[in-house]
Amino acid sequence: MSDSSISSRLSPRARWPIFIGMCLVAATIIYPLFFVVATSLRSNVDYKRDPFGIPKEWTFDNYLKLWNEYGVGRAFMNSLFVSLTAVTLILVFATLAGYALAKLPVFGAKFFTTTFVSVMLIPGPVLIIPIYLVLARLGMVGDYSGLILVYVATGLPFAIFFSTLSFRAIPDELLEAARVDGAGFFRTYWSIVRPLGTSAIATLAVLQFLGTWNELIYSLILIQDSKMKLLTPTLASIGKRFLTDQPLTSAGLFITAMVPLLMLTFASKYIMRGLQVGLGR
Amino acid sequence: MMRQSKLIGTLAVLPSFIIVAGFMAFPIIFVLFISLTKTNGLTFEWLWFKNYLELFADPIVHEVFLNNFKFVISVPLVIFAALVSAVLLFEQFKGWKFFRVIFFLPSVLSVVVIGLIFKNAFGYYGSVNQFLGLFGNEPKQFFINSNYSIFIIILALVWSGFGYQSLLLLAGLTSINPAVFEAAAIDGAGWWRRLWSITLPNIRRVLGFVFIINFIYTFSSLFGFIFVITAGGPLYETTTIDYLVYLRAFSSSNLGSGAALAVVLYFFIGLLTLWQSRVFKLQMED
Amino acid sequence: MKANKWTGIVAAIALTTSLVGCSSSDEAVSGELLIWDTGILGKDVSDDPYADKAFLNQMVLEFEEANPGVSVTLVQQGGDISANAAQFQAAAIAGTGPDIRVQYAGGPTTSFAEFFEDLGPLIPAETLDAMAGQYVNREGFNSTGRLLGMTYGAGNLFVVFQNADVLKEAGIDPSVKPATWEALMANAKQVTDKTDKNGFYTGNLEGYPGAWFISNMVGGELGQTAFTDMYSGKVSVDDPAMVKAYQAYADWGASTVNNPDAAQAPAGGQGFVAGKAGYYLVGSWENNGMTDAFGADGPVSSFFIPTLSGAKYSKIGSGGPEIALSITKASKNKALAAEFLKFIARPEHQDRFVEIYQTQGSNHKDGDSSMIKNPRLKEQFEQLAQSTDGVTFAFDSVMPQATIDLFYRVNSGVFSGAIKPADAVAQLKASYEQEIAK
Repeated sequence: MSDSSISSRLSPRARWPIFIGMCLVAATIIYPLFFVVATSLRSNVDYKRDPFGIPKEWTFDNYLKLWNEYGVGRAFMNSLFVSLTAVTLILVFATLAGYALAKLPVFGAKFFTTTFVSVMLIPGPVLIIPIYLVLARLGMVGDYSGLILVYVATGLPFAIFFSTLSFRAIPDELLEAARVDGAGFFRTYWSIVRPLGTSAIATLAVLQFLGTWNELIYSLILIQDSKMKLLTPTLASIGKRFLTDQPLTSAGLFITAMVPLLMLTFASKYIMRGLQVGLGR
Repeated sequence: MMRQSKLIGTLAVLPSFIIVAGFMAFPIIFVLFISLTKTNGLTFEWLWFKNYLELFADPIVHEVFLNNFKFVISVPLVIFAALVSAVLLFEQFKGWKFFRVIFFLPSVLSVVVIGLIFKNAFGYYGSVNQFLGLFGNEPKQFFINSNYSIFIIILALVWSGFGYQSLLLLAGLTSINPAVFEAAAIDGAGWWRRLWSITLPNIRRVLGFVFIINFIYTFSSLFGFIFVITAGGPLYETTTIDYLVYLRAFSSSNLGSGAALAVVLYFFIGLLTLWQSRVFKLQMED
Repeated sequence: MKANKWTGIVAAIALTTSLVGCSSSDEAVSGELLIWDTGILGKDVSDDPYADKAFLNQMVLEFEEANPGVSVTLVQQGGDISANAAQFQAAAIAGTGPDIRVQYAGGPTTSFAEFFEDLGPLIPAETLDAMAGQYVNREGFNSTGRLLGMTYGAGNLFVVFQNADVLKEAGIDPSVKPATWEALMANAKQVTDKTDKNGFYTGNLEGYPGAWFISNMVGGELGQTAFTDMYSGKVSVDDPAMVKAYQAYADWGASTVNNPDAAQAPAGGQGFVAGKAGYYLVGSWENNGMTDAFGADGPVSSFFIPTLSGAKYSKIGSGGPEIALSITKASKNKALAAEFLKFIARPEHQDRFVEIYQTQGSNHKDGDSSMIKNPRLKEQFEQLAQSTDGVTFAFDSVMPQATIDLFYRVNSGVFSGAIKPADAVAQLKASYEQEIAK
């Protein structure tokens, strides 16, 4: 940062109140989450005795009960399976399409791009009835294949847009050199586009995973078998059933929030980068 | 050779196109068709616009549309909170990157998680009532009053949304040419003056974008919050259009009327987008 | 269930080979059946709907034993009523639905009229006539309408549970059951005034207690056919009896006899189970929960919700048939499905159902009342025998789904004082007219 740029900012003395203000705002975010974690580690009796006080004893009972008896463990695994499968498919399809649209001649490229961009802003609730009927006709309601297909379809437009933009930055000379070497489409894709686009692909993976992991409406409508339920609908029904057992609900909240929080901790770099591109659209 | 690579390129796009066309583009056309029929999914009886006429005459639909406009209050609140934190983060004081991540934290959480945190906090035995109790207040049943309920949902929207928006605004701020600030500093313009006459005008485009996505958000994406926090009650006083689409979709053997509501929502959002982009374009041409 | 699936496949292969071997087997008692249940008849007493001890699982095994060459697959759906309905609708569209579906009786059955077969031609009249309450599953609740499901079990009864210990503490004699709602309210007030406990424990977030209350009170005014008559248009939805019932309900909500968070607490009797209230208005499905919580000889007993003072039909219960078994139009083996229904309908089998669950009695005329062991269910059936005015089939068992959704919502609104009784009734009328017009 150059001197001149800093001189256009506030004096160091004026920064202290800002810092304290920021700390207060941060506290309003951290405290509720801290409260959830602390509550989830207490018994209901202990919580009711003094919600804000220091717990008499810590316990993992709520987690064990939820995980083993209320199907949260199973739902967690189901969500993991569906999200990972959907994200993998999105990455494969989107990077192929993105590479082609960015670097290769494509019949009707403009038509494809227009289609992808124009469906990007369709709100989810508008599509629930037709998608439901289409999947019903195909016998895919109540089946993960239908849900995954919907996640892939709703995730693809942005994913293609994002990877097209990112892959444009790959120097043409490299691709040309590969072509001269006699590398075909897939070899070029695998040995040049993939390694050079790693950071973009990672960003995309994180964003899409967060999206599918947190999705509610389709997982609610399309999966009804209690053994196949995903995590968010399971949590929603637990929250309704155990309104007066906050420690139990809190444990469920933390189990659900844990995965996104871990991602934010370890992949915040990729998430932040994804947002900049999100702005460009 | 050229022709061959053109074929390969097209083939690479095709799988994505088929999925998107089948599960996003086709459903849009299909929902238009469904909305003109009475159907249980098996048999379709052509009705022309009967579903729409009933919809426009339905007092619950009117009420729900008005409810959505109440949630628009959240738009300026989110933007204001985001703007303040963005401008302050832009000062790049010690640890600003850490704060950036913290503010963003609620954005990665599921609406179910956020919704339940707020529902529990404002419940009868929740922490808000416990806290008010410390000052001798009787606990309140917040969720039997729609004004409180809407306030709580708006609070959840602001809490969970401002971090992401402030990052968008921050990106806009960072892209301002530093030379502009230098010139102003040489002219002796104070911090407030610079904020008002340089910083804000320069991020007008980003502000406009943020305004649009928030506005659309309040009409299309409140489902999760409503589902978890109030289930649309008391009565239909916190029901929004997207939630009503869900309620209507499978509650009767006529899917047509739910589809008609979805179509109205779709066109309404389309109009909003067009109108807003026009308004902001005009401003930019000033 | 996986094991079942494999047995199914093995049985199917065995069946095909045997069919090839001897083609003379009886057509009605061979083949495959797919049954969908939502934890209604397949619910295990340990609350795990997948255990083999469940009633429906027993029936399936015995039916297969009695009919070699038949294989039955049983699928348990989870989730709530509307989710199950949506899933069934989807399967019906795809043509992958079950042969037999078990669901709630009344509206949840009749609203799928287009997907269900008329049982009239499939099941002999004497089998159906031996079981009470079939009318609730007829199209349009009309005696000549198609029979869309076989009513199974005597159904639920809406009741008030009372805690004798709490009542005694307030100086009330628990052996004297209040004859009218007003008398009950006076007792509840006495509990609130004289003890540190509440008169009632109520959870009205979803508006369910309102559904039980209104159904009972309107039945008291108009008789047991109150809501089926409303459905068919014989009685107006805004009948003065509705306004009167809602007024009493609003007064209950505005009174001080409930737990302070009654208007936004979820349904469920936590406060009553914890011994913090004298009364709890709910249904007979809580019998087992009460026995578990207080013991069979505990202080808790039950009685029918009393009617409003001056009610024309005061010797009345409310609730009605809960379970229906239907044969789907898509079924490829309707004769076999009908055989299964006849099998499960046998009085001795229904006695087993009563014995296992203890939530409701048999609706078969030859039902064995000694199977009722739960003391609460016993006392409810004794009171039922004295209820010469019959049992009102509840509002939310009859009306179209959109009207039911509104019903629950106005109930919690009236209780909390947000909506006036007359407005609530007017809204219900408008919704009913709109839905029926459709």
